[in-house]
Amino acid sequence: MNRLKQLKPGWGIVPVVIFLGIWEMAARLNFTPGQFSFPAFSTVLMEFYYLTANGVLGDSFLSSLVRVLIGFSAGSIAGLVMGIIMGWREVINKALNPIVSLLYPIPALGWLPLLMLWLGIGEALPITIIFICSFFPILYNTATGIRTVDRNYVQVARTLGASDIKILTTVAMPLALPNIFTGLRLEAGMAWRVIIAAEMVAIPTGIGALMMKAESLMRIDIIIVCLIVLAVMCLSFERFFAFLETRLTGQWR
Amino acid sequence: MAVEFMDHAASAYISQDKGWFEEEGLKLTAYESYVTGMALASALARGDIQVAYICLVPAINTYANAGVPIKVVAGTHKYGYGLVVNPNKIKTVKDLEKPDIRLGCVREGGAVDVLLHKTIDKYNLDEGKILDSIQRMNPPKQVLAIKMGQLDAAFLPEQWATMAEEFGFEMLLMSQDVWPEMQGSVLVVKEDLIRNHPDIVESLVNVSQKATDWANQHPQEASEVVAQQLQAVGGSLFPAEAAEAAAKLEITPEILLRSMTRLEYTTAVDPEVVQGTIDYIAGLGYIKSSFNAEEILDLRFLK
Repeated sequence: MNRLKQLKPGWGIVPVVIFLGIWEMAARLNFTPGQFSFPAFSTVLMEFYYLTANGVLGDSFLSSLVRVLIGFSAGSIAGLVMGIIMGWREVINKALNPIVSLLYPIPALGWLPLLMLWLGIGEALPITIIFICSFFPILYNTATGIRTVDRNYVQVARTLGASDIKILTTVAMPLALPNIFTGLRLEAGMAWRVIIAAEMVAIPTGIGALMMKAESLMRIDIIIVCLIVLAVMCLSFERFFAFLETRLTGQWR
Repeated sequence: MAVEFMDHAASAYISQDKGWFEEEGLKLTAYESYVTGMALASALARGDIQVAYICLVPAINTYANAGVPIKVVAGTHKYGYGLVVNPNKIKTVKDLEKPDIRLGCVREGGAVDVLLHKTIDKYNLDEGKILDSIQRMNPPKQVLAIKMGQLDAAFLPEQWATMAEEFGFEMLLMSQDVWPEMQGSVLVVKEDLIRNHPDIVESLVNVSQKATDWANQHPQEASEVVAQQLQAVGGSLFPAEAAEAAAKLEITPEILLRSMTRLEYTTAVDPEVVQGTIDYIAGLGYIKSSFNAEEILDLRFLK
């Protein structure tokens, strides 16, 4: 049992290797339905190297990354601040909750046609889309996290003479952290999904635009390279926030 | 069979209208129109199509990038692309570099997109400035955008370039000004059709030749036939989203006559021009590497 546990991290890679092996063989033996082209994993790897070496992938990746970082940071900070205010002050919650409830279900990409007309096609467009994508879920999760903090803890702190700000920062916010991190973790991955879709539809640069260019040139190998980059970035961002959550709340959860 | 929704495929539309395919014993199980060569190229790659009238550039992409075994068996025309501009905002090609210019073009891999790059090279334009200002959309959407005042210039294939003139735009450059001997569309067939049914391919080339000759001899009548065919196809071609847009763009015989005189209809294909095109798009990075034009050409059926 102990030996099995020790082998666990290494075993995780076995299904991936098997999958890549099947992929390579299926492509080389031409086991693909219809007549569409299906490049081998080694071809995709070569294209990844080529796109990296000539800077095309780096430039596109950087464009998408900057948009995600700016949009996600701004949306998260705004969502956190608004969420804390709404969660902490019932009056504000009652005033804003109907509006938030109306806007929250709209998919971020649903705003795209409107923003294209308002902002035009430029850097502001994808950043705003990511902002919207992050803002509402993080606001909702933060407000819910703070509102659901056990009131007994708040009463005890108040009885001991803590000020409102002290109670908020030392009692309510730490207890709301799991909720806040759930929002951050999910939206970090979602931000990548949304930026790719936005770039595919309206923005001429970035990983999504590179995918569209590859589609019009029928470069399936490049499309798969982009999909792999997207998968890795979604996973990395989600894992980063999962790691942060464990580090910050693991000891007392 | 698949054709592009343009007068580039005039010989196909004329043959269809005159019933010449049937006369040659060719029974088409499908006859589909596509708004762009890239859309048609995707259909070729999926395996739906055996014969296509398609611009040379997407045909090369289909062969080189998607590995679809096709051969060019005849040409349909030379030239047939242009740069149309709002004359109030653009007087010279250099004006395209101005920061407030909104330039339309099809997506990467289309023949007009390659013409755009040729224009950048020939007139030493700032590639960064030009590419940053481009709005990628298909030709009917570009013409509609021109009509709505949302574009200042557009690289378009014919008949769309001539249609843009109807909305006050002027032809600043034609493909013959930028790219001498530019091969327009070609007739391509799947390799297995040549292998298994060379007689069918020969008949296709014969019909194409007959229609091309007829179009050159009867330009007025040819424009009427092609206009009628395009209007008939247009109704079913566009998805609901674009149907309204398409309906606003009337393709009249007068427009087509003007447009078709800007093309040189011929079935001849110059292998050197094809090689030059392959080398150029390889240089743009649109295909992984250049290859010998003979790989994609099979001109033995041309008389």
